[in-house]
Amino acid sequence: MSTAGAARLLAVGATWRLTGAAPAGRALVGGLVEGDEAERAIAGIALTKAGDRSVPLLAAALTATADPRPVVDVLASIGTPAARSALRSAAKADSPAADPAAQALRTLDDIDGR
Amino acid sequence: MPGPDPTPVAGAEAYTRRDRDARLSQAAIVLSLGAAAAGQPERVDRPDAVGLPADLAPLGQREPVPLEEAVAPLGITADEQRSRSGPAVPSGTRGALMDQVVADPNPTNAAALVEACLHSGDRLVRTAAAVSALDTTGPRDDVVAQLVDGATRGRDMAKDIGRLGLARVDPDHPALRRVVVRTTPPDASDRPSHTAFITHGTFAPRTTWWRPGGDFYTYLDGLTPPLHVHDPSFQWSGLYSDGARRLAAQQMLDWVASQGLQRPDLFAHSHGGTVANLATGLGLDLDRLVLLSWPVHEEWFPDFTRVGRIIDIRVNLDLVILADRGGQTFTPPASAAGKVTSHVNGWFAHSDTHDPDYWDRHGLAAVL
Repeated sequence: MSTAGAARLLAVGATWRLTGAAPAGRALVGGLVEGDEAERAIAGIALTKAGDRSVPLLAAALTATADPRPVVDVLASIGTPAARSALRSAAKADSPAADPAAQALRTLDDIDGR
Repeated sequence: MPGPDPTPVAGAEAYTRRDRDARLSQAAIVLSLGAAAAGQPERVDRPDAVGLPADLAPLGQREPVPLEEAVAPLGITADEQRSRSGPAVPSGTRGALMDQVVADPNPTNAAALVEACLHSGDRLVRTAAAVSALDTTGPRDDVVAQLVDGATRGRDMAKDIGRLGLARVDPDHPALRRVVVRTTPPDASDRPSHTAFITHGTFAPRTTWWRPGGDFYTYLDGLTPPLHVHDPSFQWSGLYSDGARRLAAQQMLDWVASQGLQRPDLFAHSHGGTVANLATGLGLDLDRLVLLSWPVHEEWFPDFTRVGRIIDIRVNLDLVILADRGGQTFTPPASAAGKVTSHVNGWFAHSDTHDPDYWDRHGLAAVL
């Protein structure tokens, strides 16, 4: 683990939640898709805690990253109508995000007891 | 430690006994009949071991046997069979039908035994019969209902067999959605196993350290005395939400039962520890619970009465726990104070607690 990287993401996460500054959001998405286990966790927690504020950024990242699964996980963790809408759109698209998004929607159904 | 291997019970005797060997043999017989009906007799290994003819090819069918014909030897109508409203089918009938299959192996006799086994008092046998009925008399509502019953209410093999059958007729059925790990080998039931298993934390189901072959799994598996680390490990969604952890806790409870594990040890990282704690609240019994970098939240404390000992391993000022806003010190209630020992070494790095080098540096194997 890069402790410095994790500490930086911790600070960036606070900035994102407080201000919504786009560079902070992008840095968190970068940590989410490129970081090690702890960096992904810190970035993912910060993005999740910011809720709907993070959804547009994550929706855009779904198609822009080679491995969209961490992004899908955060959208599913947010779980709001806006996040689910982004997952549904991804599930219908012809992209690498389609299968993970569909699986995440099934998990959300399970969580809801449907 | 593995239990004794089951011993097949041959022929009608399987239907006169109620022990584990007999129930497994009954299930094996009806599943064999189903495979033969589907034209796959070669899939049946050693049919003679359970008293079936060595050549099951004559049981192959081009069309389903009409239900009326299949249930005629049971003394009930097809409607009564569909609704299970007719008179009870005596257990002796199943033994007699088994004798008929042996004496005259044909599709109708085989279908009759399968239908009779749908009346068994044992869920495993009923569920196995339902799987075979898909091939002998064809899919119908009561058969699917039995598959759902096996998949949702069964344990161990009954659950797995129910799921497999249900997947054939209704792959999108909600009962199949909770399958999060590979299915249990058919011989895993009733395995008295004192062992350990591992699970991951938030956003980490795709990491490798906790899986068989992963570095921490391999490290634990090589310790002396041996922990008998279970293969596979437990995987959950890893989502960061209360609901995801509660769902995972139920899945863990079901999974431990399906794997035949009895009061295992559990190594759980991060919110995998929360999942473990919630599972104890649902009835999961654990011997040693090793919490690795668990973010402390009092509302997710374990049911201490269901855990023999808790070993809490963490670093100081864990940055991920800071992001989570969890506590960094596990202080159990006074009634459970003697059950928890904490080992706090190093700083900041959430993942260190599943790093073999960290374990060696701090002598953690000795605290288990």
